[in-house]
Amino acid sequence: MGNLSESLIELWHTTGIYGFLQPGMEGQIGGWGNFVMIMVGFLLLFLAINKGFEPLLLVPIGIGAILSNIPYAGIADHLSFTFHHIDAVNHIYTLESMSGGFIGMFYDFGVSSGLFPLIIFMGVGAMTDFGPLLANPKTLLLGAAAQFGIFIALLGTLALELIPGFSFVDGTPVESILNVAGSIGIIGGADGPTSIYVTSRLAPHYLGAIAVAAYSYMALVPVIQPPIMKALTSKKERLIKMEQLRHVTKTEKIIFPMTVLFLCILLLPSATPLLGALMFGNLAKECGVVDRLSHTMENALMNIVTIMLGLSVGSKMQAEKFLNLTTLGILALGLIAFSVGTTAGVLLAKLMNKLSKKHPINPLIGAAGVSAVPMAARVANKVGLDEDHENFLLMHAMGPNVAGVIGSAVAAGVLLALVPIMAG
Amino acid sequence: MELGWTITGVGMLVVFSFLVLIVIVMNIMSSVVLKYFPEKEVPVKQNKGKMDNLAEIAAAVAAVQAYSKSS
Repeated sequence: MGNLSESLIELWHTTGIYGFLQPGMEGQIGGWGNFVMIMVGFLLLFLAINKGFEPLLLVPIGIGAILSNIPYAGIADHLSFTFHHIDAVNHIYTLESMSGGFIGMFYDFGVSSGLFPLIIFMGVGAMTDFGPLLANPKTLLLGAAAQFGIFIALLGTLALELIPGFSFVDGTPVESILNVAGSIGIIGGADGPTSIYVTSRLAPHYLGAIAVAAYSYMALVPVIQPPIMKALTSKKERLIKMEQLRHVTKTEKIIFPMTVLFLCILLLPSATPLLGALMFGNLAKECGVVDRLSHTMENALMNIVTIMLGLSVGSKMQAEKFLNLTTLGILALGLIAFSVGTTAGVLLAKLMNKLSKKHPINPLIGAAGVSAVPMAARVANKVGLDEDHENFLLMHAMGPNVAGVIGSAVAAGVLLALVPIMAG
Repeated sequence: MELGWTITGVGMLVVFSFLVLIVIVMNIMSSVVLKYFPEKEVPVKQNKGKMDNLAEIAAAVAAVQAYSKSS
């Protein structure tokens, strides 16, 4: 009988209820915080399923948040290897075993390594039609202006660091504050894969919070942008009708990815992993001789990676890392970055409209310069339709929208090249 | 903080100049392509339908008539 009750108590000690009642510890196990984060996971699922908020992202992220906060299950445990020492003189080891939770393994192989964002970029390239951009190349500048948010958030991070008692680098001795600032700033690029790629290179400790912030704001584009767009433009400007875009030939579309890549090779090699993957995908789509590859990139491959990436990002919503002040700081700075990027895009579009009387530009499309493809373009279209239900801006907004992807990849390249040198 | 301003300045400068460069190169590329490699007019695909058959028959009849008249 003694054995039976002892066994029952042992079993009780492995239950979730027992785990939630334990004081929160450093590491994965226990604490009410895990329970809170599981509830957050359910909230994300509710938003995705019932409200239709970015379900493709939020369903995997929500499930990731739930699974990784389960006490004693260790689903988000990172990989660990044990080695068997066979030759002490020559330092030869053999791998004895490998352990880790399944989402933790996704994370290590794909997110920490920076692999998933690049695969996603291939898929994005294979889905993107640069036609509207080629038809109206000057909209590329709108994609540049919207990157202003990145640098404002970078400055904001450095400013917050000056506040006594608030530090982003406390407890994470590895990175310099510049690395963290660059990673937080890149949220303003409104491009999830780019944010993850840059952060995995500059400030891996912040990957979780930054990935969650970047993806949440991408889902919130339709909420954040319209008030800013309406505040900055007059009704007359919102009513501007743009000219029909010219036809773009197939040759132009094939040459374009290679030209951008070549410029990048010459001037900014640090951006070539991102832009190279993007342009590879796009070339596969446009060249017309490898349809099988481009279909795989934009469908199967992209979906597989989205599943693994979503779960990995969700798994970083761990209680002890998420429920603290610096995460709130990151969320606030991300919001500022996003708003400043939108503002800069709209303002430059207004200026360009003033300067080119012949070819009017509706300032609303400037807001699409913060990548977030194709959501930002749809938002610009919708705000335009609200004023005039026959003014379709979607194709015009796709130009700055895809320019934003190139712009944020270039900005990422600058950060990746400059920050490590300056941080010394 | 000073480093931050530097990165901001350099960063925006590089992003803008890189994209301006792309705009310039794109304009050159497009004008060259449009001038020297214009897209061939894609011939309208003929449907294998009733109309085509009629047209073919009409053409054949016309050819026969023209032949018989000339001879």
